[in-house]
Amino acid sequence: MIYEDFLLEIGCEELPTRAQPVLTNALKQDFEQALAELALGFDEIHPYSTPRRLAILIKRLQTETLPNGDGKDRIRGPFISVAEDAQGVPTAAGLGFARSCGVDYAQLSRETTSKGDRLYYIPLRPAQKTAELLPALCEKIIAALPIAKRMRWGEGDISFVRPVHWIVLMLGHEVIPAQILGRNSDRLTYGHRFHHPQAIRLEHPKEYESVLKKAHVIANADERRHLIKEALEKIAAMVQGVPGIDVDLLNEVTAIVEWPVPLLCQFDPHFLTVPHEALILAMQQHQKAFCIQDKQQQLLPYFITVSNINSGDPNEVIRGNERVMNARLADAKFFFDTDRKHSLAFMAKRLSEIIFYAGLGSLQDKAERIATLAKTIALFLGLNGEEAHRAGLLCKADLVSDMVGEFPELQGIMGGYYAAAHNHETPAVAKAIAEHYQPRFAKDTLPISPLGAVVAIADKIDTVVGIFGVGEIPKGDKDPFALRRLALGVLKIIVEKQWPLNLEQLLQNAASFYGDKLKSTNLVPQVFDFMMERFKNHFIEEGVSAEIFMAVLAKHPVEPYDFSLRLRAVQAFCQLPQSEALAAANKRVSRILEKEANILTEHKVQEKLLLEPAEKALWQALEEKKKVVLPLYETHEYTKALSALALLQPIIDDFFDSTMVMVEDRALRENRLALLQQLYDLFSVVADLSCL
Amino acid sequence: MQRLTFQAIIQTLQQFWQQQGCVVLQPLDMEVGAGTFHPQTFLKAIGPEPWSCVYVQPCRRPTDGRYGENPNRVQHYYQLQVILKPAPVNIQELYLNSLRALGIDPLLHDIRFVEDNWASPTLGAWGLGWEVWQDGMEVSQFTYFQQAGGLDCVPVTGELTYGLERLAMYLQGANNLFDIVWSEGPLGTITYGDIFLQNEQEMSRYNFECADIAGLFQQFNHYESEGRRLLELNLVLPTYEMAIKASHTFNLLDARHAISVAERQNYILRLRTLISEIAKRYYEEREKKGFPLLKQCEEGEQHDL
Repeated sequence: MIYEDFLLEIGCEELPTRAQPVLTNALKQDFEQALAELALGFDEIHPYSTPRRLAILIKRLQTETLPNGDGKDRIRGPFISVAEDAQGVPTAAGLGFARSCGVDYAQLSRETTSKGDRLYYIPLRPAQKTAELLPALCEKIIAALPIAKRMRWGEGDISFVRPVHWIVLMLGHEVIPAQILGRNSDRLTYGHRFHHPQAIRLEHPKEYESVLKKAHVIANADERRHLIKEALEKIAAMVQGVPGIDVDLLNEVTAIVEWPVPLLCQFDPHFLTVPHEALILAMQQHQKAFCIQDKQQQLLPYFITVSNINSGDPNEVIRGNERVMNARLADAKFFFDTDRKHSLAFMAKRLSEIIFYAGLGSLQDKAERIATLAKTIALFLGLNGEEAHRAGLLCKADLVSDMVGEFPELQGIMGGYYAAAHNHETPAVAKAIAEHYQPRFAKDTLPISPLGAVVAIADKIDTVVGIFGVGEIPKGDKDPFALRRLALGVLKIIVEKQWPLNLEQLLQNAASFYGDKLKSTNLVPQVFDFMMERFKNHFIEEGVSAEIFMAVLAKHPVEPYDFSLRLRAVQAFCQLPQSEALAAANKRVSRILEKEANILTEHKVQEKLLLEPAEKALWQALEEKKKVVLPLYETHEYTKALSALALLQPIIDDFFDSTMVMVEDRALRENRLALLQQLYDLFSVVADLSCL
Repeated sequence: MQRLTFQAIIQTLQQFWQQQGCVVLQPLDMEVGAGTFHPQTFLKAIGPEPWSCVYVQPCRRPTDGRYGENPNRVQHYYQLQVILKPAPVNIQELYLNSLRALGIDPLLHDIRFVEDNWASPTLGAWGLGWEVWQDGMEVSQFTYFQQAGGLDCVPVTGELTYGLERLAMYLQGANNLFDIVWSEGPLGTITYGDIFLQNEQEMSRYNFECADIAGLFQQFNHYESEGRRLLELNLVLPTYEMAIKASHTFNLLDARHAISVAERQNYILRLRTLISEIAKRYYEEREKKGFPLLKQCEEGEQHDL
């Protein structure tokens, strides 16, 4: 068997940054799959991407398919019992199958199956040259690439991510002739647009990376990313700083250069009076530059731009970038200064112009609902109700500010700054406004200030209830309002703050503030179930088993914090040696009680009817445990309660071993059932342990 | 390197593109937000007729006004627009050559094509392409039109838009747009600020503070209904002018914060609907005339032979 290196390079005009990794990964996977289907062996696939090329290098690709493929595609014929008569002479059926395969009967093979021997035939397939298969293969794979937005160019009707200029298609030393994306394949590639614009003749795929490096192109994206990261850290250290490396920005910059040359630049320090969040966004989003912070995480008046050239005079590049950055930051300052001419309360007046959602009123209506709900929550928790109300009213006001218009990511954060400006609002209100969007994504921090947490809960619940109320329920990956994230945000905040808030009550309140705007009749239970589903997924990710969650959910605890305490308790309970036996006992009791639910009239255990020692012992033990456990339930000390109950295990086992419950005597039977009911009730306060 | 004045930059680019076969046109005499609104770009991008031209277009974007206080942003500025239809294979190289004609050395400066997909909701147009950065400053927009007025662009038009002020700042090493040298001669050095600073100050005040909102709303409605009436009369180009006027009126209302976020979409949709109809009607009219430029171009090619 012969093996050769294979190279496909698609030379393009500058490719979108996000498309590069997506497309090279797809190329790699699709080649892997296609080659596996053809049973073509290879060592490994190296994907490459730069702004001007996508490439795949396959090391040691088998140059011919095996004759007859891998032998798996058998054509199965009749069983021998049908294909031959008693003397072993082929019947019409046997000869017919041979004819359909185009061979003599004697050329057919036999296989043994559980139903007897059977004829089969492996169609003869000559070995094929990989080089002959590759053009069609490449065409198919390229046509199926996941391109978000295709474009046409010039007069042709060919479409791709960006116009295609050259195609390299080689197996070993040879070019594989093909036409791909309107270009004839060749062995010519091109280096850096400016450092090496002339064509480069490739002799062999294996030299791809090294030849391009000489032509000022680092084809391997991971290598470029690594180089950039190292250089950022080195350069920042020159000014005693640390680079702010946003992963998305690093990936973007990696995909925007073929020959990264990071440069240290400065901006006018007087811009440092503008909120740093805005400065950083302006640097990252507008200029794709990296900020530098000192060891105390304070922004320094420097930034790093990653150029794509070994400039003859880097100072020219630096000066140009500094000029643009200063103008950008001047714009941010302009927005900040303009916004601060008005108070946040003034801005809030314009919220009436903005629709929150069709049928759910304006953002002003929303702000008022948030304020009312936040106040209710705050008062219940013994916090300042007036401040909560104020923060609720103002929390959306920055949406009409110029700064948030320019940088939507700064919503809330700017509101916090504007509330604090000129001491218009109390520090607690400003902080609450700044924090109320948190958590903004899966791993984001939760609001720290109590008031921030209250407003965050109120805002999120208002949205979830409202959007559900107009029937926009998240389905599959369709969740345009991020209701799942909002729902989980509420639960996480309540649990983290350890607040005894009743979720059902909160939903009820939120729904009532919408008046008659919401349609669904079954709204509150529906949203409650939706939120519990989020809660469940969250805890499963945390390592809690679905069974444990369902055991707690069966008790329908309405306080999320209390719910979390029960989960922890049941988790701990499951670690106890007695837990398995107790869960089994609970199941048994639950089954018996379920069956007898209708018959049972008397729930009180009558001591005089307790005859067996085991049932007397159980009764006594239960009475004693009640004294210990019930107060623990009161104080939500569920783990202690369940540990105490676990000690009952031998007594319960004794009872079942020695006592017949379903006896003929009705009075005795009902007394025993009542005893079991008490046992069950005592165990089932925290969770339905019979679910375990 | 000799400092290129603002007027010399324009002359150099016009000359360069004239040598590439572009028709040198003059600006549209109406208020527009971008050179794309010029019928010689927007309407010419529709249908099969080939076209290439170059022109300077004054642009007005009321919300970008900064009272003459921002070094980079103004509400009135100039674009130099190049249209190449069909976009030639070497269009990027041609563009880079135009920079070289201005004396820009791409081995000295960091020139990059940064993804920027253009879409004009008002024009029902979109294309894929880049911002061109020179040392971090966006000096041009480069777009392959895919749709205009909701119609597919076949063949594809290549649009190059130079931000003349930014290019000049860059070439002259100016930190402030108002310091750009427009010309040097018997009057001494005339800067951009000499010509336009007062305009920026007063127009910013007008745009942001003084424009009569009620009157502008009336105008918008009038231009729209007038457009509908003219379209009935099969007057495609006059209808397009009405749409352009309505668009600028909308931009002024926007600067006055007179249109709420909720209403915005609605206004844009009204304009877009009208412009889509114009595009369709324009195509039909050209088709009726037998796409004259198509024939002329074939004759031109024969002439070359």
